[in-house]
Amino acid sequence: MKKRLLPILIAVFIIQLFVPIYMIIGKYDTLRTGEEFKFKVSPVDPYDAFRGRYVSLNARQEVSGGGKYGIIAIDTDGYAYIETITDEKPKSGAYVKSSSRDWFTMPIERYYMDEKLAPKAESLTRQRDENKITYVTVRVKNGKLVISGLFIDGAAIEDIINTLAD
Amino acid sequence: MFLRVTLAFLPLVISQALAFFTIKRRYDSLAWRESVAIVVTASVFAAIAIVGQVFHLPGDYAAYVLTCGLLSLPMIYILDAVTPLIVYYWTILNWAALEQSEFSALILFVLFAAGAAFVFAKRNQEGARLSYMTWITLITGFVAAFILGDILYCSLLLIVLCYFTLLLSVEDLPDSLHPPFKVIGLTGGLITLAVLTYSGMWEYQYEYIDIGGSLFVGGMLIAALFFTVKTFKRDKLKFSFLLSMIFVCVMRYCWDLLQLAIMPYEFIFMILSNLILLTIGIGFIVHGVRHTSLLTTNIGMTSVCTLIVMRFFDSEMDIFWRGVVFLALGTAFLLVNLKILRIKKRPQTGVEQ
Repeated sequence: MKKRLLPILIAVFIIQLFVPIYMIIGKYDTLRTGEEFKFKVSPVDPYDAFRGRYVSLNARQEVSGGGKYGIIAIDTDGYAYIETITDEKPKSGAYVKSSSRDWFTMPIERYYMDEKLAPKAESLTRQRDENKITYVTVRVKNGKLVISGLFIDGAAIEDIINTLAD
Repeated sequence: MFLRVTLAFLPLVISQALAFFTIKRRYDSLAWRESVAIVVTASVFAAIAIVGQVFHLPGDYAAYVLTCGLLSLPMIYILDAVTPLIVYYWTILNWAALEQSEFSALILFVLFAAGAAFVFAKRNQEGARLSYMTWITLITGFVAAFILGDILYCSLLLIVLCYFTLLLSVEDLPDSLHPPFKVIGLTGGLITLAVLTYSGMWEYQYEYIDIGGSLFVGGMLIAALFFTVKTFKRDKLKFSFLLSMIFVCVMRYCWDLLQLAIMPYEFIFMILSNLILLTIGIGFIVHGVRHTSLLTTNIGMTSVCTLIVMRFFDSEMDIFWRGVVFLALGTAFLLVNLKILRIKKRPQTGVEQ
């Protein structure tokens, strides 16, 4: 009985490890070799029971509608935005794949932070000067998008909070 | 980032090593199997959550819980553990409730069967574990039926009544499995029948008829009827009760399919439901008194009293008369119970003499 179970157990372990590893490989490659963009965002701070605290983000979108892919354009200030939404996979240029099936949704939804830092980040962004711009830096490759940082007027949110704490 | 990714995998790898050790050296220990299985399950949840956090992944909660549930499922079978089964059921119910598509209804059915198959495979074992697994599975089945009804645009009361009828009609079960099937089937069935006695329950319905939903409920009804026929020779009370429940199911099915939420049908169905519950209640009382069974009598008394009390909410009865009826019901309860107790005492006195 036990002898028969061992190969099955090993196969299950491989699958259990493969799923998170597969998640990492695609994201890590995008972070290393993807093209960098800055998206303006407006943050609010909710709580995810499983994954801890995060800053919920709404990315700037000039258009909305049904479609799987959003084509990225850059405005005169250097910030990225979604210019067009299409169902066909673009053959060239930077594009993002939607995070939902029925409606185009930017995969910029959450910026996870330390449980203690996230509420401070939220109050900081609420109190912010109207002239200061909140944005995320992302890496994009083959439609995959990975968030690399959250910034307020060029300063990383973690640095601002640490400075305030000091 | 490297540190956080390492932290994500560390508990998973350690728990996998523990599972390997358990199979090799401690497979006979139930405590080891159960605890290691739940540790592996928790580690899978943690690993995927931490990876999602490190890369700021969008929060697809449904996909997350389903992935974790599916990755934990084999541990139930391999380590012969019950605790992860609860987690697994919880993940599939969450996923189906959030997905809400016809395809997810079919998948939910398959996923539930994958968990229930473990309990079925253990059906001939004795002990509290089997009973515990059965309770969990049947309660999950009720929630799954509810979700399926919602996804497939069925009358929710119809689908749960069919489910309870099916549970109650199943025969040839090992002794340890009888209580969960009987208690859930009987209690749920009587409560659903009581709810259906309200006129409002027959006034509103989905205007859209889903073929998949109709076929699914039809299938459940046929299965319940098949098992009910088998009970005819063994237990006449159970057979009559099941037949009444099936009659209400068929009535509700026709109401749903033929879109009969109109006068006079809704009134006729409401009256019939009241009469059926009243007949069931009286039937239980008569059977209980004849066979001097306090439990059966009290089930019947409770059904009749519930029906009468529920009608208080529909009628404009004066508060004085409501009080009188309450007292009359209480007295009837007391007298019937006293009578049964006296009958039960009689043979003992005879032996003493």
